[in-house]
Amino acid sequence: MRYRALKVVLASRFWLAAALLPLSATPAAVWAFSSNVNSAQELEYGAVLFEYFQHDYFHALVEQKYAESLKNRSALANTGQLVKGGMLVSYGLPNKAEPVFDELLSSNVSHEVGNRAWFYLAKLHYNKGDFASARDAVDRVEGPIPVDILVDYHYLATLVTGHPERLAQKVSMIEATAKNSPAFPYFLFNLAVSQVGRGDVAAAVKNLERVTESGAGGEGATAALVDRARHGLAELAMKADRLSAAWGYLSEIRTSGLYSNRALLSYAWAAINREQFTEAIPALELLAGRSIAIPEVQEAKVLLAHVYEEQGLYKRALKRNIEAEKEFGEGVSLIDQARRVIDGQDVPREFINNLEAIMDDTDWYARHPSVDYESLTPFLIDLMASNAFNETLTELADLYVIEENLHYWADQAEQHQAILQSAEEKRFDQNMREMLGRTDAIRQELGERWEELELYTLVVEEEERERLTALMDTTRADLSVLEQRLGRLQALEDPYEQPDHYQPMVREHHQRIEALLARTENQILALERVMRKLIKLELDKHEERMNYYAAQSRLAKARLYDMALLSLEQSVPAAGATNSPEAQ
Amino acid sequence: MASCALVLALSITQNHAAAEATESQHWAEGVDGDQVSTDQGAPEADDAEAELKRISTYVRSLKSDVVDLNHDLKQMEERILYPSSTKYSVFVSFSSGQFFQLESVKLKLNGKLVATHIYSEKQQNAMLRGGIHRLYMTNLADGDHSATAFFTGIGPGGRSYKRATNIEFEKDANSSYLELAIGDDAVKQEPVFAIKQW
Repeated sequence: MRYRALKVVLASRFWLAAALLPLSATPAAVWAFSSNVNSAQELEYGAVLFEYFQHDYFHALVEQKYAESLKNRSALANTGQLVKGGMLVSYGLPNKAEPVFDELLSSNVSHEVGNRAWFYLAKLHYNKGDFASARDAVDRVEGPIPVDILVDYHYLATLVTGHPERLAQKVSMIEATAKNSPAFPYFLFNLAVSQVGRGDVAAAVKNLERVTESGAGGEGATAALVDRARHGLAELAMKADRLSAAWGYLSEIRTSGLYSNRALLSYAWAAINREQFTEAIPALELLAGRSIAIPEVQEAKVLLAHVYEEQGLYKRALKRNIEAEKEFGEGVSLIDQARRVIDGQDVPREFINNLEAIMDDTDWYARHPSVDYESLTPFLIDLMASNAFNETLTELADLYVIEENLHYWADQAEQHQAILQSAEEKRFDQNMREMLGRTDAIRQELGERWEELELYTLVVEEEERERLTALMDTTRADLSVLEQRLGRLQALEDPYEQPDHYQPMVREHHQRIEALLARTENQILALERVMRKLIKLELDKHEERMNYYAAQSRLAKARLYDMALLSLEQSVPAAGATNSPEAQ
Repeated sequence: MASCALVLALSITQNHAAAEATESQHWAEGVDGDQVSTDQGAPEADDAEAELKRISTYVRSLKSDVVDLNHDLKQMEERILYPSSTKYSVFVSFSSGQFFQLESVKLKLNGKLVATHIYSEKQQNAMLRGGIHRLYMTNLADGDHSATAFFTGIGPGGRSYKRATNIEFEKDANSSYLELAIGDDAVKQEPVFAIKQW
């Protein structure tokens, strides 16, 4: 049996959320209330924060870049750049974030912004495994530390300097300042872990107990952390042969929820080690009723039969072994089914799309997951805790978002073409202008001919002159209207036209969409392969373990049958002797 | 990102003697640290991790390129669709939220319904923390215009709350933004809605 990877993240997704200074505290005079917005620039920058606070770092970065291109002061300010650096880190682009922090720190920034930047830079180096640079950055933080990063900073300092004692001395100070921080119990837990690593069990136990006290009565993640702390305490106590203490911790862990399987199994083992077999049985029975895909359940099935045998309840032991062997067989066939499920084309995408539902606390550990992956997901509980699998899921989720975004732009490309086409048609106005030029030339020619005609009328007969004059008056009126229209059209400024470089620019952007879409699809395929590989490796482990347990059950079954036969043979000479039905 | 996290795997030895601690002191007092061994989590499949690292490098470069492209496309679209002289944006801002939980907004511009939006919980929270929602972008000629905003949500006492507010405004060359603002009136203990041109 093993204690699976425990992972505590100090609210890493939120470590910059509180870094923002309020946009402004000065009320705008025209409002009937105190407004946060004091300028159009702040209004524009608010769009960055709108995405950022939803943790949609991709769109937040796009908005940030856009705001910077508009020379938005809030986006270019130190706090804006600090947020940008955080967004880049959160979006998995630490190499892009580093120059942002470097640039910030090379300028004249406030003490608080400087401390924040050094802290984030230290964290960034630590994530990249560059401990020397991380240590250097940690040492650059000085003076008062912003409360929202206080806990994280001290914890990071301990990690990079390797001295939990340094942190332990500051617990009281941190507690006084940031006791209500959601990160505080996690900080205590992680401190305890590092103390265990350095052999200071008493200090670790003290801190784990503080975690259980601080989270008492909590729900959700807090309750899970408390369960985790209690389980850790129990394991430490068992390692130190303090079984009573272990028993006490285990008794307080909830029988449902994230750590219930491990807790129930540990509880059973603690009871067995105390030779209190009857105490172990209810925990094992409860576990044995859960999904065969859970490693703790697999172990519980074999252990339950063993406990019955130890108690001399051979019939029940035999029954349990027979059932276990059958269920392990069913488990192995479930694994085959799971392998077929993961081979399905869209399974990784649907898996990620339904991740929240899959991770649903009650369904995940129950027999009936709420999504269609019931034959797959129960086998992946342990795998979900691994860094490699988590990173694969994160990267894949980001790639699916990118793919969707590029498909959107590919659709928009058609509209861009339609707009450009329409703009191109407006160039007919240019043709009209040319026509106006031609019309003007005709008008001038007509004017010259008109003068000739007037001279000609002087030499014609009276009767003809009158007819001509009437005709000329009508024509003059028509020409006058034409001249006015022509004048108005000539007076018009140039109609709006798309600049010539738009067409090639749009074409180039569309080519970039296609190229990036192809790259995205390639990376998705590659990552889906990795995801399938990790899942199959996990399924192989499950299969190997279940085959092993099935063999154990088979052996135990054979042994119990042999014992029964032997007992029968021995009982023949002593016919008439009575045995308990259970022993038979 | 998760480097702050520690991975602890404690191996359990099941062969315990039934030794019990004396109850007069805490059981952990005096426990030898060497009794409690720690080791790192089980190693992952190395080749899968190596493959993941290799892909991650490409993905990082891809992400960066896509952010750049999105920015360029956004700019390009604005150039094509919204010339700077007529470009006009409408934002929704929240300045407190003590008395109102915003669920949806409708916007009428010059008497015509031009935008509606229903806010998710995530979006509501983002706005409460200072995020500002770009509701609508359009082209608007210089001159007189009118705007009416309809807000629906949960008001004081958890009751359904609907309010409308309107503004007559003149757009000139220097104005490009309209802010639909929601705030609180602490004296009346109710939300306040206002529209302002920037």
